[in-house]
Amino acid sequence: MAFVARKWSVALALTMLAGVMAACGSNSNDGNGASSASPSSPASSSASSSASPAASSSEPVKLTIAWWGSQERHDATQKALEQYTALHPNVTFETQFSGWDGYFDKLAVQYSAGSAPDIIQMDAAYVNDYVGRGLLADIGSINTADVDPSLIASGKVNGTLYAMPLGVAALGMVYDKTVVDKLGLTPPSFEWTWDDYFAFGEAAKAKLGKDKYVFEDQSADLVDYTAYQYSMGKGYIYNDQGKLAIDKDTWLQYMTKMSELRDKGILTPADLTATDKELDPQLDNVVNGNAIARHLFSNQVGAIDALKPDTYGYAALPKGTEAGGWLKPGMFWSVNAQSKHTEEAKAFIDWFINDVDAGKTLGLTRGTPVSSKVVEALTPNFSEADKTSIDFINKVAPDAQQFINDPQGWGNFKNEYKTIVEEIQFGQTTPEQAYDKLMKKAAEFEAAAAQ
Amino acid sequence: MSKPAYRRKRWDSPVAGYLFLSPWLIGFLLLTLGPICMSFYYSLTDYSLLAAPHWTGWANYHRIFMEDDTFPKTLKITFVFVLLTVPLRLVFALLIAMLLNRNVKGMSFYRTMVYFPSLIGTSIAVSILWKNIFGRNGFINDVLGFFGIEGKSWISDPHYALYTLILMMVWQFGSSMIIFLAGLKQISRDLYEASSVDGAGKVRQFITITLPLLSPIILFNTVQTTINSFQMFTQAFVVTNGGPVHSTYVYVMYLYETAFTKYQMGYASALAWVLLVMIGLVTALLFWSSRYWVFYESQGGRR
Repeated sequence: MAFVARKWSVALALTMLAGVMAACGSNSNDGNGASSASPSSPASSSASSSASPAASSSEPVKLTIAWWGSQERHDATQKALEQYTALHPNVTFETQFSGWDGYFDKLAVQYSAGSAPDIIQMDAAYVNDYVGRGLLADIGSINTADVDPSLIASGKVNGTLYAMPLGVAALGMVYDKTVVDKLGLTPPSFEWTWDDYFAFGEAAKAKLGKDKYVFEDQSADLVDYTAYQYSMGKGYIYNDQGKLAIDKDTWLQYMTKMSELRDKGILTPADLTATDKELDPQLDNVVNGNAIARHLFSNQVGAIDALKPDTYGYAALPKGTEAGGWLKPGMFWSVNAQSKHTEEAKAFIDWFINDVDAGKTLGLTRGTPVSSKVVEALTPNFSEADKTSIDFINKVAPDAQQFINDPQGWGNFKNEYKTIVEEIQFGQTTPEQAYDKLMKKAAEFEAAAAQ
Repeated sequence: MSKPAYRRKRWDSPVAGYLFLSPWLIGFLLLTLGPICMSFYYSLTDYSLLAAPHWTGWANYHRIFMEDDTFPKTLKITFVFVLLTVPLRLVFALLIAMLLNRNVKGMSFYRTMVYFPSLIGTSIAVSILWKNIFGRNGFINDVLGFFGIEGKSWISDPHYALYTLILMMVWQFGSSMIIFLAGLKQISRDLYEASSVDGAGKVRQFITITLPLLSPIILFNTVQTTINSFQMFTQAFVVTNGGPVHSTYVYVMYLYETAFTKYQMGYASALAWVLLVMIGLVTALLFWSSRYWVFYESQGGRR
């Protein structure tokens, strides 16, 4: 009796185990098919697909594609992907889109698991990091006849093209036109200088009263100091050897001046600054009315205008002895070097930047398109915000500073920089002490980059 | 019962036993033990997530204790967090459990409602909600403003941010509360009746009956909460992202950033092992101290 019961229980356990194993097995198959670049039909093994990599092949291909951005960009990109699938029925897409936060964290994990997307939206801060580790494929064969060569150069590392720029953006400022007009102030312009900037701050603060501020305090953003050092004629913040080249006196001067503005209530106070989230309807201090002006890239004009139409005016960053702002490729498409469908991915990118219909669908969601042919075709249909954005670029362009990608290993330095400058903002340290801390951090990054 | 006989009985279970266990066993070996061993290996390398690891021996551990300035800072924040969270949460859970241990109409409804925050507790959604409630223009400050008090910016001021997170952790007392409640139910009514005949008041009953009989459960909850608090991450990541000025930069937050934004997976693995040893030591300390304050009825009243 006991023996029979035991036999039964063994059988039952085995059945359960088999069930569980089967479930696990099929799950992991699904997982592979969904997340990695394996061919969509399991019968045609990876060998056959890599043997015939021609873009024209009609073999079904599933490309994984990842990007970050706002809702506007998500919608336009998804529409463009559908368009591409209609043209090439054998190519389907699996999309992974999100906001900026956590995008690169996730990408690193996907790479380490061997399941990174085939096509990846890249940022200038990480191009050198990824290329240096051999993670991006050479995409030099893509047709770039209609693209400004200096722009293409920004996607090259040692002469090889790894990242295709997708749009140009200019760094400038946005201000709340309605408030400036109401207070009767001279609005910031594309020619204003640092003296004008300080004078505007004083004048505006006098009329704004206690609880409103003039500028969002972005001194903890490395971008702002980069522009300041440029405008003072001290050059870029990294030198040719890829090392930090912050000019000590210029930095201290900038931080001291910013602290002064903060004390006067011209810059937002530290606790308000800490809650600021760029282009968030509730948390952006310029959008919610706590401050009047902040820095902005021209490809964000559409996004901020959508939050509050006809409210904003645009200006350049203040000039010193030179201009402060620059033109930068907003973002890039890169192809995963581990991808099994490099050719198909390249064909897609080619279409994405050169095709006029694709350009029409995408609009300015990634900045002004890089192909002059596409821009020409789009111009008649530009919306007001698009025109403003183009106008913005054209006004910054003449004396724009050179944009350089962050050197390898320095992609995350801006996070450390932010924390150190925040200590000044909260009055926990002086600019001099902060400078020493900054240099100590820089030495760590240098040592790590040298390895 | 002799010891060898007991041993044999324990390990010679029928095959079916292991087979029934196997889904868990396989899961444990592949999904838990495997990664644990891998992480120890990585902690001895310079693994960067994006490139293959190179053996570096104990260099990561040396760097943690000798060169890393962030390590002592984040450790201090974590200890402040744990030392405040654990007692506050336990006291709070016990008080609520005692309130819910009465026979009032509709009690099961109240219990469900009180447990609710813990069900949704560690989720991202609650963290975002918390962020809005405690923001500069959030609900809390609106209420304070109603009473004429000017509220602070609770999550973006380095003086208050950590305490706001502690409050959030204390608010999620539900699981400890449920366990306390079960413990309270087990205490025999007779003891209370007998003591009240002898003239003991409520406070006296609490100190001489409730607390001693509940002490094994207090120990369990303390250990549980301590481990959870050391590992706190979601709240710090979502609500404050470790800021402002690293005031909520708890240990796991540091570990996460090291691994996934700085790509120093090897170093992060070493940090994780240091955390493991630390939690192990604190837990061992708690168990060692338990012999002085935990009372087990089954041991005939011996402590």
